Amino acid sequence: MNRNLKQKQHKQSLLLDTSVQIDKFNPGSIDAALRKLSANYDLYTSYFVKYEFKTGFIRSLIAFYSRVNIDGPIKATAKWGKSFHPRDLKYKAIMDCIIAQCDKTIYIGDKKKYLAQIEMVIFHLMNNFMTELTGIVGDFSDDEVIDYEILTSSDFAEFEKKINDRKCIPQAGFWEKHKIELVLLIKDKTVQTSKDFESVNKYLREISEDFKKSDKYFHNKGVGDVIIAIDSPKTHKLVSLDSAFQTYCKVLKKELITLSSSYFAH
Amino acid sequence: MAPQIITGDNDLTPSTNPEFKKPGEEETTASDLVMRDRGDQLTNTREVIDKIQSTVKSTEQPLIFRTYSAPYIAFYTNKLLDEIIVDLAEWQKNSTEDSLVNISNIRTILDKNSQYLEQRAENRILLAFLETIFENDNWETLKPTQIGFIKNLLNDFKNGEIQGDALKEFSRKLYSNKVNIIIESESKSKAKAA
Repeated sequence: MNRNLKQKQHKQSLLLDTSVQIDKFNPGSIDAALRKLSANYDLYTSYFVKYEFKTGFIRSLIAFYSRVNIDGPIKATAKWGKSFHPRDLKYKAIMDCIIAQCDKTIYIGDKKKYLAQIEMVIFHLMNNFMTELTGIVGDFSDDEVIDYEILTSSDFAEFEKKINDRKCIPQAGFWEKHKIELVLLIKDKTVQTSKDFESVNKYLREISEDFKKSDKYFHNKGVGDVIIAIDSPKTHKLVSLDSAFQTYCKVLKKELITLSSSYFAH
Repeated sequence: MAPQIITGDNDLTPSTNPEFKKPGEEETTASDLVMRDRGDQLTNTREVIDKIQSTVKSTEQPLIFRTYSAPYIAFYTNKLLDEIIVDLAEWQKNSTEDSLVNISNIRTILDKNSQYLEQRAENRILLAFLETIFENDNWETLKPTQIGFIKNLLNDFKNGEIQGDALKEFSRKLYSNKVNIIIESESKSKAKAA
């Protein structure tokens, strides 16, 4: 038993970012590979990742649920396909896969049953957010949006109200605490010159001049990946599907695993 | 033009309205064939329809045209209005995209309460107006000022400041508000086209 404990203590820790936490629910994507990783590593995520997961993935499905209730399943699906961000289409595709896995049939012709299925998926996602994970780390604990439990459709309105009343997650304290990392990032040549980081660079510069600017909507939303990278403990390797983290992790001297299909082939 | 009264799913029963037909009640040709194939002793479509109708009637919730007392209707109308006003206030405060849950709540409230709302003339007008929010996707183009207008009128209605004859004026205002929505959206699309 002592040997087992010792082995457990020596396991390396990984921190899963938002893209991984979402894709783990995509059947046939990285879910099986993550299960394998969990045998060799202790998997963690952060409170901020949970915030992005809830205000992105979950909120998108709540919006779809509402549209189905307003317009009926067929019209809502047609509108969803036409007018929404590709990310929302991806979220709906994952939802459909989960429904098909659990129920075999997607009741698109029956509003009540379809609503129940969407509600079931949202519950499933919330209930399994921590599946395979050892724990949750980082700043932003005690945030009311992160802490708010969404179990049934009766929780949707209060959840939306909490988001709408605030729009942004307060970040000024975080940047005050991590001003050294902030300076490192804005001084980095790649962040300064690459087109890919143009807007992030602008937001980071403005935040460095006045931390309160991080609570402006676009600044707040635009620096999410940077926060995840900074917030990840040095003892953890960050795991992401997004290659943008390579630059942040290099500057911050943090280890990164960028997941792709080739990663799992070895 | 008199306002159109929009009725819910549960307002008329087969027994009270001879023209009442549930969707699919007469579309039994396929079932007819299946039943014949199964060897049922049904020799014509009429018999199949009768059999299906009797099954539908016996398994469905009884479609009873319930009568509600005046205090019951008054109490629940006020409660319903309170809930809708809260949702409208949230909708007015935030964008339509950020208020989908509130709009969905209004839809649910109307669906659940249409039965007793249809029993009094003034409530029927109220219900008809609230339903127009969802007609022709009007809810997607409503502006905060228009949402505020609806909210204020509902408040007045709830507080008894609009009653009897005034209710018709209330209804007219609501419908003229709807006309404005259409005119505005038309002029917008014309401007876009130009």
